[in-house]
Amino acid sequence: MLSRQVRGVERVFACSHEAAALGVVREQPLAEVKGLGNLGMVVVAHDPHADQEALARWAEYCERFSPLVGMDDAPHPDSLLLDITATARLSHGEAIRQAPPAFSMHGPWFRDGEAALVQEAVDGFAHRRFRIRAAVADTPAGAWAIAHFHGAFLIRRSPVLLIPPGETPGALRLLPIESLRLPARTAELLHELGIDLLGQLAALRREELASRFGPELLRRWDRATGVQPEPLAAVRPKPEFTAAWEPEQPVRRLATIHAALEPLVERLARDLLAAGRGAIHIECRFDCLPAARGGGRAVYRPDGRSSTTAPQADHSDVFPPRRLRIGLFRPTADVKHLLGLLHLKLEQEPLAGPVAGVEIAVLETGLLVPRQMPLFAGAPADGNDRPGGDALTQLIERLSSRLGRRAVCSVRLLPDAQPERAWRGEPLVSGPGRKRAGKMPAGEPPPRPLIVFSQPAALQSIPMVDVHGFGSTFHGEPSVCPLARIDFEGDEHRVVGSWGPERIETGWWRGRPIARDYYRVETAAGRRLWLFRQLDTGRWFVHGVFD
Amino acid sequence: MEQPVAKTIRIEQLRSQITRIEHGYPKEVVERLSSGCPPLDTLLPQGGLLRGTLLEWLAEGSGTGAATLAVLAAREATCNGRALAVIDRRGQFYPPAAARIGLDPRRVILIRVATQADQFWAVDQSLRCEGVGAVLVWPRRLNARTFRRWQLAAEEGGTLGLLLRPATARKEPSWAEIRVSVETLPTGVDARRRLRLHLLRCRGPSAGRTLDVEIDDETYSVYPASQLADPAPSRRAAGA
Repeated sequence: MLSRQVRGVERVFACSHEAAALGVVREQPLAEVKGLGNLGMVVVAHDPHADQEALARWAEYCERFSPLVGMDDAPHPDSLLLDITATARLSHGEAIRQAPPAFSMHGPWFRDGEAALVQEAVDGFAHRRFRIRAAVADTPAGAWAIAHFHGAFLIRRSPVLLIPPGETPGALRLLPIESLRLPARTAELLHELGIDLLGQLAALRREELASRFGPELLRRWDRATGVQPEPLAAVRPKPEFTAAWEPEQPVRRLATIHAALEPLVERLARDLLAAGRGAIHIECRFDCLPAARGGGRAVYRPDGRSSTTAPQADHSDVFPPRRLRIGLFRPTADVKHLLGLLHLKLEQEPLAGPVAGVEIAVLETGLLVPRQMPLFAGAPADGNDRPGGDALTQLIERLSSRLGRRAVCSVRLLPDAQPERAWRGEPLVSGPGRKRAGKMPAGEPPPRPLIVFSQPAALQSIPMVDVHGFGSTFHGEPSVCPLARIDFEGDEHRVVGSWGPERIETGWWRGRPIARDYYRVETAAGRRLWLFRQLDTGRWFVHGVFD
Repeated sequence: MEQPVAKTIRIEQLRSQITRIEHGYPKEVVERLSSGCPPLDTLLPQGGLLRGTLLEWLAEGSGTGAATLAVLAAREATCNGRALAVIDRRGQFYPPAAARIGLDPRRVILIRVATQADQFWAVDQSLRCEGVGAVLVWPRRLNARTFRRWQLAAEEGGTLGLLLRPATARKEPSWAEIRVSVETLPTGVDARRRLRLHLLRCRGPSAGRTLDVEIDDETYSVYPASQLADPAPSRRAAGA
């Protein structure tokens, strides 16, 4: 069950069918639901952002059904709109899982191909444990309205509703006015006048509608009925530089794939060079068939793995196409270099099955620096700011390619008192929409150990031994560490000297505030450790070693 | 005044020629570096470290100061603008501390590896790269084949490989040019920590010698243990 706060009250945002069977309804206060008794319900706060991301992933998935996949234009879209006019002459649908997000298709013709396509889409979603509603109508807005409000979904419990061509306005007549996604005030006003259904609205004169309720109402109505065309914006804009290859037969041999990649990269590099651009971020998509079914064209059959209840399966894994992403440190249009990176990546992430298609898209480009233009192989780079700069660039790209973008970082020091936050690793290779920045904070940082554990090691509670003549209470600050012995790395160490404390406190507004007293201690063997005492609990930790 | 300068240059040239012959390096010049630890430099045959070689620091347990010595050497190897590749498998390297030692954080490339195979590969690639001045790594286990590969990679890239290893590695064969074991000596409560360096492996007559040094925790300067006086007056006397 998903909950969200509406005017200070936790309310049900969406619930499973099991919960619905028990009488849970949307917008019901959570306290009321809990009154039904503890039925093993799991309540999770609704995360609209995660919803958007999931919908975007589904949009990508739906690109196999239609060349143009859009979302509805609400602030929190819950539907996908597919233009299937040209593909199987289809239109619109809507997807529903536990929460009611969605998808729709539209197009003017109606043929058997349409029904099959919609069914395939519904099955595809169902296979991934998502329930959807799919409606096909002549217009995107019409399909959206039908998918969201048509009674057939409730009565027949069928996930698919196909409205025959030309019958969309008729089908809309019985829907409530909310299905036009009107502004709240307009809808209120209409209800006050006793207009609840679109049919009633259609019976009114157009001029009257416009003058009374503003142009928005007419615009929405015209778009739903197809009087006015509605532009559909693709979720994923088509990249400017792409190159694709489709073999006649699915290819299994790696050598063949490598051979196929070369002309693709060459073509991309030529286009890039002509535009004076270099690639910064590249995606290479391999349409893989499941290894078991070698034959057939690029028809996506859900692979067996995704249907199991593997909880860790993320969506990129669920969708059959394998996407290899390559980020570059500096814009480049060098064929040899790009190919090398692709091969390295392929080696790292082997393909699951025979390849039925390859597409390389340059997702992000940057201005090509002239000296990077390879005039001839092995041309020395001149005017570089540091020796071996090009070699370094290529190293960074190779490392990032194999280890992942986030594994290869530059260091950025931050002026923060909390040791964990005094620096940050920033990926050297740019990802989508990320920019690199490098600035040093002014001033000398305080003494710190070279090794800091990501998880401070808790020390056994050893009774405080008062070696230096301080009271056993913590009135005022002890000038030395009050611990006499510490258990660390399986050995017992006697503390012979210490420096501190250095008090580090952070504000409550920072999420998890800390209040610690740090000590540098020297053990009898001359080893130096970095300890801290948590001020609220009094517990001791080793946070690092002066190695 | 010209005569002595020319003489020094000549001696320098001859020295590098000898080194070249000794090591069989194909490169024209083998660049000499300070180890960042002046007392150690005086013991080393070339008066310092050589680019294109590996340097091993062995230490028992943690908190010994071995990494500090390694970072001091890395600082010297990267001061000409080359990068330091830190291959950190456990995610424990703390850059602010390295910055305090004098390492320019902008020259650090932090590489996080999840597996031993990735570690071996990343070290090999980094050592091979001309843009890298030094590579810092904590290999827990290291087989002879990989070790040899790294040594060849360092030679190819002209990089300095800094290996921080547990004391148990002492029994294993080494492809490092220099192997130093680091032991801590108790100081009581002194801001300077005392270390005993044992030169387990190096060319020349110094092999097997030990050396006590002190490191200032605030400035990270290294002094011979015997020099107990404050260094400031002597620096002033030297006209610095």
